[in-house]
Amino acid sequence: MAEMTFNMDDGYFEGLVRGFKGGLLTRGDYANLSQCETLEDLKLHLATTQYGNFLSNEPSPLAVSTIDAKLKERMVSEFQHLRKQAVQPLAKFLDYISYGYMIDNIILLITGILHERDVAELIPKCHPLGVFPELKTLSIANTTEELYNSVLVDTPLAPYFLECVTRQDLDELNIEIIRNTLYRAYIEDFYKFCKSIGGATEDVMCEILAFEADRRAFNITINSFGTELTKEDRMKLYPRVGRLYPAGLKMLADCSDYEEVVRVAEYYAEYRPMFDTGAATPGEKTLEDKFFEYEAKLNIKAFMQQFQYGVFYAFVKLKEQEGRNIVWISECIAQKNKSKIDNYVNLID
Amino acid sequence: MSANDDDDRVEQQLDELLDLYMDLYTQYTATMNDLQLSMKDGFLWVSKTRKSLGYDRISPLQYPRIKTATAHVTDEEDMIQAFDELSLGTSSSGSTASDGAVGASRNTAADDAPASTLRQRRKGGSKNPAPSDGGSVKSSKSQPGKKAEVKQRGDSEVERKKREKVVKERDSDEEGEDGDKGAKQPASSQRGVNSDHHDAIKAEIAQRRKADPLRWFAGLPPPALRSSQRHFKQSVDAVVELARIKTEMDAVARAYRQLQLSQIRA
Repeated sequence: MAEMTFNMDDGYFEGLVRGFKGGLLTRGDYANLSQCETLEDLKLHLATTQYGNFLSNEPSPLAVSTIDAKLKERMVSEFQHLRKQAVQPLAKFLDYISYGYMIDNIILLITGILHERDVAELIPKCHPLGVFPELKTLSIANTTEELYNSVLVDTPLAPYFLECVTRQDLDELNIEIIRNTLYRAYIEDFYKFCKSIGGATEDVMCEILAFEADRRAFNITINSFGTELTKEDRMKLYPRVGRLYPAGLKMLADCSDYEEVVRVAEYYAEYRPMFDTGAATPGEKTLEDKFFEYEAKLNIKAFMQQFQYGVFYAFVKLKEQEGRNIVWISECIAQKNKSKIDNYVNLID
Repeated sequence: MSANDDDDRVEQQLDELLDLYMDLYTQYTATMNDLQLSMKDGFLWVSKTRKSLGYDRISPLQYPRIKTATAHVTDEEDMIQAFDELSLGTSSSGSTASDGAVGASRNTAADDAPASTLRQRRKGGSKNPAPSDGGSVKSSKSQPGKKAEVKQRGDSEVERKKREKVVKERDSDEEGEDGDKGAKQPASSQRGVNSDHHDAIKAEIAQRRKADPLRWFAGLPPPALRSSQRHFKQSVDAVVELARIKTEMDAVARAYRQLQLSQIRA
């Protein structure tokens, strides 16, 4: 039944997002970009793609951070074009996509304030998709309780923050715990929302979010080795909507080193190949690279089905991946280290 | 005949000094290559970290404007002098840690914070040590006039003399090592140690971890970031080694010139 009524409210937007997806860079485009000797060359080559002259007003010499910022700006403008015209429930779905960036911005500001940076210096560095009016008032909070009561209580993130309020001191580890706790609550809430929509949206989005949850669980586990994060605290950070829940998460929580994590991954066919080899040099594929590849595959697959909201989420993530690819190529060119320049995730053949 | 013997001896000494200089030059170029490789890999790992975490997660916004050096470079003579000054109750010359601890100490308060390698590179400042006759070689981590200088001995001796640099102390954090392979977790219990000592050790470890610059960027640092830190630490070692070799080469070159002059005068 959804197929019969989807186009009434959301058909135009699906058409738009499929058009945006058609503009993603192909293998040939990446090959051209990899041949560039300087960032100016890269700018010229990007002008022949759907990005056009988005860097034309930037002064020379071009910096990689400028390219990153402009790519984000382009992605955000396309997203906002969809969001401003969308009606419910698509509007709420698109809002859910932006909550992840809001969490990142809050953490960025808290970290910057902790290191005595001015808020005016930090706000321009926030991700534009995650900007909300209360963000500028973050500097008044010294503890998580103040943060919640003074700033976040009226924002969409308030329900996610209730679990973090017990963390009093805002030091580096606690901030990381707050980030991951917020993210866990966000992913679980988003998962529940997608399930409530049902149909093809549920099929597509739940698979993507389950992978996201499992990825976070693996990353939290591996990154926590050698830190003060206890196994009990680690368990509380794992989102409970992935394939690893519950047995895999329990095993991950008990891991003490990388080899034990690999043994846990061996129980899951889709994750086993990702842990086969580690990266000894920066040119080889790391675990994160393999996660990005798998995520890109899921997002491309999302476009195989029509009349569902997964295409919007997949588009945002594919655009992000494209941005990462271009920034990686730019970094290799800027550092004159082109031997590893092919270490990007190809999206479209 | 004795004049001929003297000439032969001087010639032999000159040859030995030249051999030594060539050996040092070979070491210098090899260490320079190591430095370049470790810096290159370090920056590439930083780029990889930015790729996974996001560009703005690894930026100047993440670190404080005033930073504390976690390692210093001192000479053996400085350590002995600092020891003497400690035992005599006099203040140190400022070349060692500000709280008077001997030699290189960890987590001491800095004067103006030395800028990080990344910041120096961006500003285009060159921090290579420039040795002068009888002067001091500054470590590449410090600004001119700041502490952590490596003093140079007098070079009046002709015969071969190697000046020992104290091995740079550094934090013993294991999480600075390795990429994808996990680092060890802190031992949660130590057998056979009383609880006070155990608590003190834990507090010390926690303090050192807090001071680890890795924590500025992420409370749970990813393997790529740890790899980049490891490579940059290697490059700092290489820089100190280069400074040592360079001063030795200068000393050998001076000795060679003096020997040549003495031969000419004779």
